[in-house]
Amino acid sequence: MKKLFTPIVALFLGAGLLLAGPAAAAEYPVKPITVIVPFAAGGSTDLLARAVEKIWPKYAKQPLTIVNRPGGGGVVGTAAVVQSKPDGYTLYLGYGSGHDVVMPHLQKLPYDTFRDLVPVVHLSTHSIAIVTGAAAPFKTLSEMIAWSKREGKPLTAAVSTRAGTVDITMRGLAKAAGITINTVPFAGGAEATVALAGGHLTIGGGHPSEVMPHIKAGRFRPLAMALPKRDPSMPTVPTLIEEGIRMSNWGSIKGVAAPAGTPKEAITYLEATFKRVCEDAEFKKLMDDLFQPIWYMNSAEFAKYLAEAYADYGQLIKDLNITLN
Amino acid sequence: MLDGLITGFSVAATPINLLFAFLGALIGTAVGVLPGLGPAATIALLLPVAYSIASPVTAIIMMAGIFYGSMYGGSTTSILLNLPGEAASVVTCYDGYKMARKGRAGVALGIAAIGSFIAGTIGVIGLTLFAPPIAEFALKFGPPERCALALVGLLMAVTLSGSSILKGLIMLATGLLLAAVGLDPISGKTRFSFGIIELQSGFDFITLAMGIFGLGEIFYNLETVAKTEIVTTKLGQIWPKTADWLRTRMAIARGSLIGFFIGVIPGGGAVISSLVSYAVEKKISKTPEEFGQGAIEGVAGPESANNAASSSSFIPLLTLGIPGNAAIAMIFAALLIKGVTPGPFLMTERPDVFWGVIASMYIGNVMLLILNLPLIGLWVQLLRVPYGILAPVVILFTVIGTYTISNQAFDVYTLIGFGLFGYLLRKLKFEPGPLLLAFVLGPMIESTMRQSLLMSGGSFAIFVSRPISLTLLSLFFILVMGQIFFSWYRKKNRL
Amino acid sequence: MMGSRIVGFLIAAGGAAVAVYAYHYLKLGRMISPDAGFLPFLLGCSLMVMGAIMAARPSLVEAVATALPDDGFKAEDQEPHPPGANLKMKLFLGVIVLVVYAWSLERAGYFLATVAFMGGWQLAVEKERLFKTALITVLSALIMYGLFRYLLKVHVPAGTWFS
Repeated sequence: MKKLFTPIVALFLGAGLLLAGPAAAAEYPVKPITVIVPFAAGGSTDLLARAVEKIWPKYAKQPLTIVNRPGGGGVVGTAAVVQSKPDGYTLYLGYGSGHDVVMPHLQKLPYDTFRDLVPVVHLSTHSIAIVTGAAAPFKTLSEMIAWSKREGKPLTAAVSTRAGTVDITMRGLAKAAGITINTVPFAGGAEATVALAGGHLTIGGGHPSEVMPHIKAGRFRPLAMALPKRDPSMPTVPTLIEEGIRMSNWGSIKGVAAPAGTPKEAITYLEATFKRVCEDAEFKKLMDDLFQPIWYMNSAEFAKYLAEAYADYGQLIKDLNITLN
Repeated sequence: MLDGLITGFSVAATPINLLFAFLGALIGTAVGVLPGLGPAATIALLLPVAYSIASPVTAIIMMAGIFYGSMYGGSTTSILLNLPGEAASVVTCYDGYKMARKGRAGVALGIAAIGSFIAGTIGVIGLTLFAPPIAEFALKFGPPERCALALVGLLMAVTLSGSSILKGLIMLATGLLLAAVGLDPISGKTRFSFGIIELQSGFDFITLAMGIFGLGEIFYNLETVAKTEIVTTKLGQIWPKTADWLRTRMAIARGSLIGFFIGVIPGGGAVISSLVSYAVEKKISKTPEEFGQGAIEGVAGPESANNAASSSSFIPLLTLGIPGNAAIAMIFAALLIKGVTPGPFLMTERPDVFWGVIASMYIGNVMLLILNLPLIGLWVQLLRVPYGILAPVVILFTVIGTYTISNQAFDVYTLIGFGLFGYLLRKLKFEPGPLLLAFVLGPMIESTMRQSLLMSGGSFAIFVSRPISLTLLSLFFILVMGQIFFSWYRKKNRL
Repeated sequence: MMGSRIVGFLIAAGGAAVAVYAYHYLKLGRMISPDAGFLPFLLGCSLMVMGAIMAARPSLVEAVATALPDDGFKAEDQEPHPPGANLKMKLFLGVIVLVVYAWSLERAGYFLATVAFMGGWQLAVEKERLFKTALITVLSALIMYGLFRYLLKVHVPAGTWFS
């Protein structure tokens, strides 16, 4: 037996080395690219990712692999990307969301949103529709504010995550209008919408793709849009500004980021491919169905846009003196 | 409605749809048996395949097959190896594994498969007949109601605590604490992570279950016996006998109903229904002391419940466009991408999709039964493998399964840690079941309670001012009082 | 009895630690919005109480003798606890082999690490024969790989030592 020991071990080692595979030295990308979406499946960000995933193979030889890593309002998934190897094979889709531009003003995150991540492209900005149940005793935003002041009771609002963009929008709205809104966070947009659909809260905020089916079914009534200009997918809904609420709202920015240190060639390749995807006719149709506008920005433009949004949210939070209780 | 079903069957019975239904069922069973990957993650991985399939009906038929197929598969490892593949199968481990140790593995697997089939079929029939009103009913379950329901489920978990209620409560508390590790969604703060970044997302159920149940048992056996075979008695009974049938038919019926109604409620439906079913069977049984030692109703009831629940969890998706759990959410996303909007108009706008899916669920249940029954003979043979070989293979199984959850080695270290913990629990005679179930239900109870308080402005009155939650909470208190009263009564009479 | 007392005491101590951590680092919050530390604090306190009860009255947790027929464990395979050292060593070795496996999985890649693990386990822990070990090792590694990689399409690590 002892005589056979060495050759057998050598056999195993050899087989192991063979199967381990040679190092990749060819052109990027040589294997599928993992895209982490730090939100639950079925949400607006996830849908955007899936739409991109569907069209991507038309313009790239390697496909995308979407991985949902929800948790902590987006922090868990983003942290995973921050810690991954910056070789261009792990990306973060959803860059610019609430936990990137709002949360850092309110609490410390385990990474630095702007130093540890590099913006690649901007894909879309998701609007936030403020809706109420059809049984509510008010039909417009101003009626709602008047009702709340008259009744003296606080409104309850279903929001997708604590300190996310919807949460801040609701708080900002409350402060600007002089009423009290208690925001109730859920584990994502889908759960929040369900709770609102059941009539358990007064109002809620969500993306058109989440609330549209319920509006059509007569269960929800839209009150306002948190956007600088009206959303083309819901043109009859006034913006907050039109309704007299003076507060800046950037909507929910959705872009793509890579961990800091990702090689320049990878980023350039990604910029170019994403651009082709955004200009694809089938992609446009998909995004229309999902009520998501396409708005391509390359890395430099996106970085500037993000910085503005971040500073603006910081100002909003300071002006309205918003804290995490 | 009948012509809807006929349309549905004509759609579902096309060769290509039948093929994909079978494929889905096959993959689903594999997913259920193999630890680590759950139906949600698998469906996500196979979404690109779904894109390339032209017809949305075919795509959703396959994904639905994966989903309820995994419910069938989950019971297999629970019964054979005491390894719960997912939360809804934990309860099956109790009596199922004990039956396997007594040489009745085939019977357990058979009853589980047949019960699942009957329950799944009842579930789909219920879906066909009652979908819209049930969906509306499910919507009424807001945070206070779900909190109350989860509390009832937790109470039922105490019935699994074996001989000492105090130890069971300690396990419950520990399970709740383990669930608190990680990010707290309501406040946004991280708890008990001690700076370790991998702990930010908390522990995964699979790692916990594999560790405590799987590795823990293996470690324990390493120490206590030199060599053992899992099955020591004759392998004779592969098929359930008539006597087994008679005992279980009511359990299956009850389980199906329980699972059907509780499964519609978003979040935790399958787990809670398996718990409620087990507790009900134990209470109703004329031989309650058999429970925990291999009572066949303890397998039939919960298995039927969790299958009925997986059928009814499609109801909110198909009628309201609301996904009830992670796997259904994936199906929801896929439908949207394919241009089908699930929701109240699905029945009228796309009857082919609506009825096609329902019809394929009937077919799928039959396929799964045909797939699983012959496999039972195969699984039972597996048990004759000597433990010395089986143990490392099982360990390999759990390690790779755990690793693939998040692709980090840290999870494997955690697994080993839980394994040692499970070993300790066994040595100190603590029952791990309540811990696992508290781990699953805890977050639901905590978030819904805090959401309810936010909704009410800090007042607990919200729990009693709403009819459904009031009913559930009253049930909870009656059960607790009843339990306390009975044990006091029994103690008194013994003296 | 004494064992239960000690365990009870440890549980109570653990509960106290949790309660203190919850109180200090995570805030308890107000009634309208119980903060992150509220539930852990409650749980820590209840563990303190329950641990104390267990330590004070161990009789409460001793298993009730059940008058049931044997549950399938035949006498032959429940060997009376042999002199401890031998089997405790098995457990110790098993844990070591597992830890090494976890450590090497990402570095040496799936195949190599698994082969080393399966081999190591069977030889060191179970003291199987070499040929049987080799056969089972390679077979199970391959089958497991096939199942996870092709049926479920998940990737197993390729090994950082090699890339």
